Amino acid sequence: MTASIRIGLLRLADSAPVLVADHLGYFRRNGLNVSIMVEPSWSNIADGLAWNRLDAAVVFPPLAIMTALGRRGRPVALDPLLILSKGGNTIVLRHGALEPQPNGQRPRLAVVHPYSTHFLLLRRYLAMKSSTADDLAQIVAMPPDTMLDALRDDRIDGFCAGPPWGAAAEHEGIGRIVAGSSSIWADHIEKILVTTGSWREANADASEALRSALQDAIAFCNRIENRDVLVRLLTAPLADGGLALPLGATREILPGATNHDAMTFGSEHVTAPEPMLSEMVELGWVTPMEIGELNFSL
Amino acid sequence: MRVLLADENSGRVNALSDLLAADASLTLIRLTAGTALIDAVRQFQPDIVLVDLARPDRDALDSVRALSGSDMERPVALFVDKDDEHLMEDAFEAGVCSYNVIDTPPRDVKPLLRAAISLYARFRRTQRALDTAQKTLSERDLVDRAKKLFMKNERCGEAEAYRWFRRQAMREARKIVDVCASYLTMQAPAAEDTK
Repeated sequence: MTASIRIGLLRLADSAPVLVADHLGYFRRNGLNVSIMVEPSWSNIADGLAWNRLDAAVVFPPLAIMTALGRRGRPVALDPLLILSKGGNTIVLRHGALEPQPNGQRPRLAVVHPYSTHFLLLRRYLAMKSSTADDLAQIVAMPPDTMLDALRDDRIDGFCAGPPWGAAAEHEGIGRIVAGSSSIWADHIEKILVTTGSWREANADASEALRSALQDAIAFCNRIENRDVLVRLLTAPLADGGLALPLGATREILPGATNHDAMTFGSEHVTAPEPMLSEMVELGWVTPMEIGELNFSL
Repeated sequence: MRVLLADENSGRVNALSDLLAADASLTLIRLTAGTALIDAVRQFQPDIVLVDLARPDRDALDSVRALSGSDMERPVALFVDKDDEHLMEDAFEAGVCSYNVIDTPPRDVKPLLRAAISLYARFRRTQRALDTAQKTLSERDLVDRAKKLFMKNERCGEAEAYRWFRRQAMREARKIVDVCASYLTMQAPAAEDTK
């Protein structure tokens, strides 16, 4: 029997396991008919899950939790199926972005979504720079694949985003990587795959098949000798089923690269999620009771 | 009621304006191309924002409530009608959604959103027909490119290349065009960095 599933993701290198499982036939082999939906923004991912346009998504834990709690619309049951990647995010700044500006304006720094690991990372980074971190910068939200344009056009002065966009900004010479997951919060959980409760109820047996296909894909992604295949997949045009990511930067951040913030896929050596949940509580996003009731075990 | 229409598809936004102009209680504001959604909300202070889901800058509206640094006085929230959940599902299906900018009790947005949904759905049907036509063309192109690459790699003729893809498709129970797409992404030498 074949189970159908719509999986949402963004143009990021850490979406690779889903692409690999599709292109190498792991999904098909496990009886899954997968439609990959490349979405324009994290809002579309969250709303897609809440309003029945997606059955699953590659997403970071804070947004999954806030979406499940209904902080952006109606609450929706979400089950974390597995951890796809750890770390890999980088903070890029234009030269002198955090120096006092002549016009007295605060620098504008972008994160990929308010409820993101990237926001938590950037907040920690700014706290290391100043005791009044909240005053140091104005934080705005935009999709990761629009940040290079925004930095080039002076709409922002820096950003925190997933791979390969930080490396791509350095390649273009429009900013410098000043920190990353590895230096701020080593081995934090980054992307997880969540499925909606309604999909899981209707496809009880398929969840295990999905997990198994993605685990095989994760193992493939982590093998250094497969790097060229991953590069081809991630840089291929959208019309050919790729993500049209920039070539040089993508090559630099895949497993096996010497880069500090090179990707690692899967859950090996990830740190426990509790500090992330505590920060969400500290920021007033959620209460400990809500997290407890949600039963969102990673 | 001030309504901001955030859609860069000029045909659709014209049609939507015409449709809503019949209601004299509405003041319609169009987002000009290239203006960020959040800047327009700040500048025009609308009560309601109708947004094309394909806009990548929708995230910025999420940030109004979540980030203290966003310096907007009035909160912006995705419109959710708890009594009529299908309304939002229909809206997302059609490709539009609605935000309330709240400083007064929320007004009845439903008729407005319903009008937008039917219009977006109509445009979507037309677009889908165009996409299908376009897809047929690009699929043909994709199969051609895959065949050419195969012929070069395997030093064989076109007929043999086509047979190989057809056999592969049958074996894997996939469409030929999907097999060709996979072949292209997995086999094509990665182009040199064009930086």
